[in-house]
Amino acid sequence: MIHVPLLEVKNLRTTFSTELGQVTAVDGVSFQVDSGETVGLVGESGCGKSVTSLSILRLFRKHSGTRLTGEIFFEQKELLQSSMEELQEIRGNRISMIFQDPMSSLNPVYTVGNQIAESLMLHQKLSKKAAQEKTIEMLTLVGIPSPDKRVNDYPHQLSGGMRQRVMIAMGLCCQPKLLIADEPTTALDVTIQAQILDLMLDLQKQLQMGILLITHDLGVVAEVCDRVLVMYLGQIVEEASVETLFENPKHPYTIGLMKSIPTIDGKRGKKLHVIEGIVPSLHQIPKGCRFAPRCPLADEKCRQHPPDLFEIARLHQVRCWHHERIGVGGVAFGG
Amino acid sequence: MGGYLLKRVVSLLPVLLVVAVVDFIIIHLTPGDPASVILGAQATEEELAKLREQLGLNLPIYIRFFEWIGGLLQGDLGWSIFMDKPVTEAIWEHLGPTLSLTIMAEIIAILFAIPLGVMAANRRGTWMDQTFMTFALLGISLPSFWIGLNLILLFAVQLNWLPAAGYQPISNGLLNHFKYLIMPAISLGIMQGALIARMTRSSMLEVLNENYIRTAEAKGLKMWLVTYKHALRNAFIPILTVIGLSFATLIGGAVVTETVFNIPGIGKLIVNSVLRRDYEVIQGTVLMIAAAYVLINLIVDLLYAYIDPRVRYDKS
Ligand SMILES: Nc1ncnc2c1ncn2[C@@H]1O[C@H](COP(=O)(O)OP(=O)(O)OP(=O)(O)O)[C@@H](O)[C@H]1O
Ligand SMILES: [Mg+2]
Repeated sequence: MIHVPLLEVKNLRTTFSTELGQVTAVDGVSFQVDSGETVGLVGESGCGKSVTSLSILRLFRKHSGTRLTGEIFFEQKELLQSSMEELQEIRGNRISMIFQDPMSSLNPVYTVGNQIAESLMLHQKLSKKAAQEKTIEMLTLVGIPSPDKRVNDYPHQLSGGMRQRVMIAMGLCCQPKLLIADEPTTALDVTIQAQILDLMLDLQKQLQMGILLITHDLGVVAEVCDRVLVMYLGQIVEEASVETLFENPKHPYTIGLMKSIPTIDGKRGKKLHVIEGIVPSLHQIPKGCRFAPRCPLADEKCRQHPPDLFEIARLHQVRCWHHERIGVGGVAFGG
Repeated sequence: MGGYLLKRVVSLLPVLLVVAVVDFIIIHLTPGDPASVILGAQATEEELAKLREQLGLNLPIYIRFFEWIGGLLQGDLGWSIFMDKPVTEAIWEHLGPTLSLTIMAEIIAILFAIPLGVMAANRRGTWMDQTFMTFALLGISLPSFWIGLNLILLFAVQLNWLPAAGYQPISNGLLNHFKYLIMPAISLGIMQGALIARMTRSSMLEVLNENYIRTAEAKGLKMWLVTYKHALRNAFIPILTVIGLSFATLIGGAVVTETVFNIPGIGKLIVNSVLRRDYEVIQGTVLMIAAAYVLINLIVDLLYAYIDPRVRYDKS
């Protein structure tokens, strides 16, 4: 029997038209997520993590000039070519999303209960009353105190952490096969963060749910992910199992990210901007390797020729001309 | 809420008092003599003097002012010297046509403007958006009397579908009533509709970029639910403001429209009373329009809280 992944993204390109011209925020991204698997997507701010996740459900405004190419298979169905009706059947039901910004992702004029129940009535065809009960159950599950009261609150009456939990409840209420979680715990403090991650993993076991977890936080990745995708400037630069990535990172960018994990005081959730130099603008993408201007190993070849993804071991890919020079532990260069 | 309402209503009284004073002054600065209007050009000087005496027109202006204000405080708007009846009664008799006309104009405006504005926003930058907005711009720039005259030319004179002018009260049949009012209501409503449509579009454009709209789409909601349930309600506060203002301006706009279509409403009453120098009728009507204006604004303010739970009034 051929193995069919739950989600398979092939050569995804997402292009926006802006006042300054076309920008390709995601450029040739391919990856898979299996049922029951947690895949981490990491990278600095602006590298295209959110755009990748939004592309899967085609959540861009019509007539905005956004172009998506490539193929996205979900349960063997191609999503980029499917009709709006087919997509709406999948959205929030088979695939659900938890968005990055809980402060602005809830509608201010409806109660949080209404917003969760809406999904349940739409996809599970629950009655209003049953949906309300299920909503309270979900709010309990994500650890919201006195959920029977909170269900009638408006978003502005809740704290950031509470809103994030509401978003999570909303994402999980229809028991999706795939959960795309964009920084689901960034707004929360460490203990609650751990609770929420545990909850997601619990549900994952029960439902055999696949999770695409977008995060800045390599600590979280180490704890919960099976595989990791490292993104830089719209491309995947390294993909490996979580053990391999932490023990034997091969891309200078990955190594840079690892170095910037704050470890001593155990604080997490800081943005990863410790790598020297700044991310180039999408309007001025370097000609060769995109990381070359910031890379300590870069030479003429790197500056002139963009490297492909090299498969250096089973399930370990890296986009670097010099991957062979980087040894175990990834500390072949100083700095 | 009740306390807030009371406070708001009480705070309206000084506003109306200022309006009353300005109203009185402006009208008494206008040259003209009611007595000579009533008696006609052939009247002798003695006859005129006698009538002025009778009508109290030769009393000092401040006495007349205080008498009028005193009356107002007791709910008495004054006396029409030309029609020889209380101003309240005169207004009451002319109120029906104007109310019918303005409400119908507003309904027509809203009914077309909001869906068109929403459609334009959803299809930003397409030919549809551009066409709608060009028409909206036209609607704002064309004077209502010009639209009215053209409607009469087309539907009354050429096609003979509708009566050119006049008015039938509802008591003579609803259909009849509409037949007479539809053209005036359209010509009066077009500009308001255009304003509402443009506001709807720009407000919707802003809201459609919000993250919670993406959340709604990510749930798998149909386009119309996202648009009308999630976006429009958030976009509605500025739209409601424009509707409130437009409703108030409609009452003013009715003066012209009622003249063009010969409708016996408040507008007609004002125009006639100005020609007759029937001071207290003009004063009373202007004051009533001002009261309607502030009342509509109050209602709009109250509706804000209904639409958006973040708007709270109870805070002391
Ligand atoms: N609608 C859009 N139009 C134009 N450019 C966009 C649009 N959305 C995103 N971008 C650009 O695409 C790039 C990737 O953005 P994205 O939001 O995916 O970053 P991210 O990796 O999620 O960052 P963060 O960690 O800060 O959330 C950024 O340069 C951003 O400016
Ligand atoms: Mg993001």
